[in-house]
Amino acid sequence: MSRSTGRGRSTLAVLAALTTGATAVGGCSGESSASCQPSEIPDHDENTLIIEGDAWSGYAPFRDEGLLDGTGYTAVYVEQICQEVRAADLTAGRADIAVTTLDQYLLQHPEGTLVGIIDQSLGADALALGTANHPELDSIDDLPTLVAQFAEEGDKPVLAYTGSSPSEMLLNELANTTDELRLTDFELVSVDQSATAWEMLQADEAQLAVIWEPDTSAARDAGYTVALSSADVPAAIVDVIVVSDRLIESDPAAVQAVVTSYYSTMDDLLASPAALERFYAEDGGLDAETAGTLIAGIKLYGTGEADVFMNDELFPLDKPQIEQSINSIGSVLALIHPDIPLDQAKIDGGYVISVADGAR
Amino acid sequence: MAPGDGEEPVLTPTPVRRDRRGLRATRAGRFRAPSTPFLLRLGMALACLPVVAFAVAIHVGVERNDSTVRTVGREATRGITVAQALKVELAELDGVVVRSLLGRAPLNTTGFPDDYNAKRAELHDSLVLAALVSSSGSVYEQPLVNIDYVLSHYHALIKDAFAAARDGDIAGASATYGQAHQVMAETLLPEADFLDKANSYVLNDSYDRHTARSASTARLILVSWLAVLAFLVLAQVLVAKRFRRVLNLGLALATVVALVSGALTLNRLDASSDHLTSAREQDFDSVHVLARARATVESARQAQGQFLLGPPAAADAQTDFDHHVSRLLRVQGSNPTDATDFAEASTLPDGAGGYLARVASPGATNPEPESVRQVMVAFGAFLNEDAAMRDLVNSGGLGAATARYMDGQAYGDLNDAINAAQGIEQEAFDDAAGAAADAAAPLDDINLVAAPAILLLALLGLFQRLREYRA
Repeated sequence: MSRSTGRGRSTLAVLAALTTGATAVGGCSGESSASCQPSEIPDHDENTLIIEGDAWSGYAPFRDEGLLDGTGYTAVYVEQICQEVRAADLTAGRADIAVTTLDQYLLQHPEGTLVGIIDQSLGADALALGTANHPELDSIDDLPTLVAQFAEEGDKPVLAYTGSSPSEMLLNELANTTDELRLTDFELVSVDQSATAWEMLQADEAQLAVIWEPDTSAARDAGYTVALSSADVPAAIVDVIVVSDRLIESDPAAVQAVVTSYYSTMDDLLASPAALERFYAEDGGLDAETAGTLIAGIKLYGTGEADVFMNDELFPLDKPQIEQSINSIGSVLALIHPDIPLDQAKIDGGYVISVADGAR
Repeated sequence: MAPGDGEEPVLTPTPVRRDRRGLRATRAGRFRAPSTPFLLRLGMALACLPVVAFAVAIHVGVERNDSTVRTVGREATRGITVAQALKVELAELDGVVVRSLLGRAPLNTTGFPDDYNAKRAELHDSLVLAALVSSSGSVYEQPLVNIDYVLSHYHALIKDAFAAARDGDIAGASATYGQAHQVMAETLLPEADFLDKANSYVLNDSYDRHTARSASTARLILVSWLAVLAFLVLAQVLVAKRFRRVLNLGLALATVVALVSGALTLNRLDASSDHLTSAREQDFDSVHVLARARATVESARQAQGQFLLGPPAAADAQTDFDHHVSRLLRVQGSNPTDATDFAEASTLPDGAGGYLARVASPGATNPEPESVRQVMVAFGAFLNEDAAMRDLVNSGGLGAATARYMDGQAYGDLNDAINAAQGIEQEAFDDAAGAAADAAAPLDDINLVAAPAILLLALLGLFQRLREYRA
């Protein structure tokens, strides 16, 4: 698994439990907690900022050792796949910044503030059908026929997905917003990563699989059908920058340095598609074409769009998009976490405003 | 009276000497059989355990079943139905605007046509109903709050559009309406869908949990039931052996009550589960799909009207219409004309998709297939009328096309057909959900009587022997 494909974010089993049934995901949450390892944070001086995240491609700029060059600060990226630990580290002050998904910020509610948006998944995560092994299975509309075929033998088609990852969230969102996918029609198999689900699809051990880039592109190239994707449920998977409250209090200049450096990097990359492709290809050890496909499935944010997302009161709800996203994602999470503290989500778009003002 | 009642017990009171011998034997490490009174008292004490476990197991099973039936059979499904009704009202409001603009409807003192105000009032009622029937929680409240808020923007834009039309600025009216429609399509309708999604989450969760644990619930009841029966049979055997009487009336009656109540409980819970499966997996899916189809038809109708409003939005309106039609019915490898033919003939090939395919495919189960066939036929007519209307526009007959649109015969027939089919499916769903509730309804009451009865009868049977023994 190349670096960029890693998306081992901690569990959304709470969401999955809503629809996939206890047998499918009952153990996800517990497994995730059990496998959590403490973060290996190196010794560092007071001008070094600890950024915790996972191997998701969207976080690539934070892995760049030169991110804070010229600001008087340095950044150290600590990989921590466990969301609970990431949030705990932020609260305890072991980490200064966490890059994570919005839903995990709401679920884990660390003592931190949202200061920026990184990206949204718009197709990078997808549901692929095993067309190569079942040539008749080339549309989402063929699922009833497939289900009926298996039912004749007293069986169900297998749907493989990565537990404790955005794949779970995508699966649940798709199951509850589209008519074509009924999870009870399938035997749900939780696997460790997208590559495993993709292998199962190729071996016909699964007839459907939820995968992410670059497996999505590989599946498409190999003649498998990408039937549904995160593009069908926009705003379900949003990556954000969370800064610890204690850093905001003690050293707001450091926060500004990070936000400014990140969006400057993104502005430069977004202005040059070739450089953007190269950057993500190098980060993940991918070829240019795969990197291009990967980027196409993610909406990346530069200064201007991030400013709009964080600060502009968008017609017709007249609220910033970040608030709208918190409300919609949080509302769904609140279905099984009635005590989820949505009103405690903290947003500070001021750092992005400063960057935008500077850019103007 | 039990056979043998009044006879002398076989065993005489235990002499002290035997006790002493027993004591010595115990001290020597040898096993000493427990005395009959001890066994009877022990039996009376232990009788509570299996009976209480049995009663608790039944109560848990019934509670779980009731909770699922309540959520699946009423709350979540009603929430989904209300959400879709709200969506239809919103889409209809948008359609009224188009028709009013096309028909140059007169404005009243509020600046809106009467039809618009009437539909607006209906929508308001639907919003109030949705707020009343929705469960509490931000997931239900947030979309309603958003709809309420955004509607003010929508109304303001529509008022401007009507004012422009009144002043003869048709292009301005069309452009302003375009903005309002964007608000409708990109915010209001998705918010109604969000309400649907929230209820779908709850519905699926409740049903899947029920499916996953129904076997374990049945096992729990079965095991506790068998424990009660085993205890009663054991007690009966023990009493029979020690007292030389075949039957103890109390224990026998307790066994009969336990047998009947356990069998009845398992049977009724199983029946309730079957009814719930039918309600959820067959009937409500059809209700849900038809409700979505109804809202989609309304959006398609709006797109037809917007197409007639004029060139600026005509291309987008055509795209919208095609999109809505494909959500209703699509046939792989076929063009829209084929879809019309399939619809009119009401025969669907494998791989057909869309809402109507879900309810009209060969594998679908309908209480009245004819009602669904009528929907398909009406949909075919709707597509034909649309094609004829567009032909008129292309041949320069915009006025005739508008008149045809305003007449809306095929649209009305399609709506009526969907409403009729949905009503039939809803009735089937209500029947199945009602049967699921009815099947399990008396179980708690029966359990409330049966469990104490089993316990009392068993205790009575054992106590009677103990009293005889003392005598």
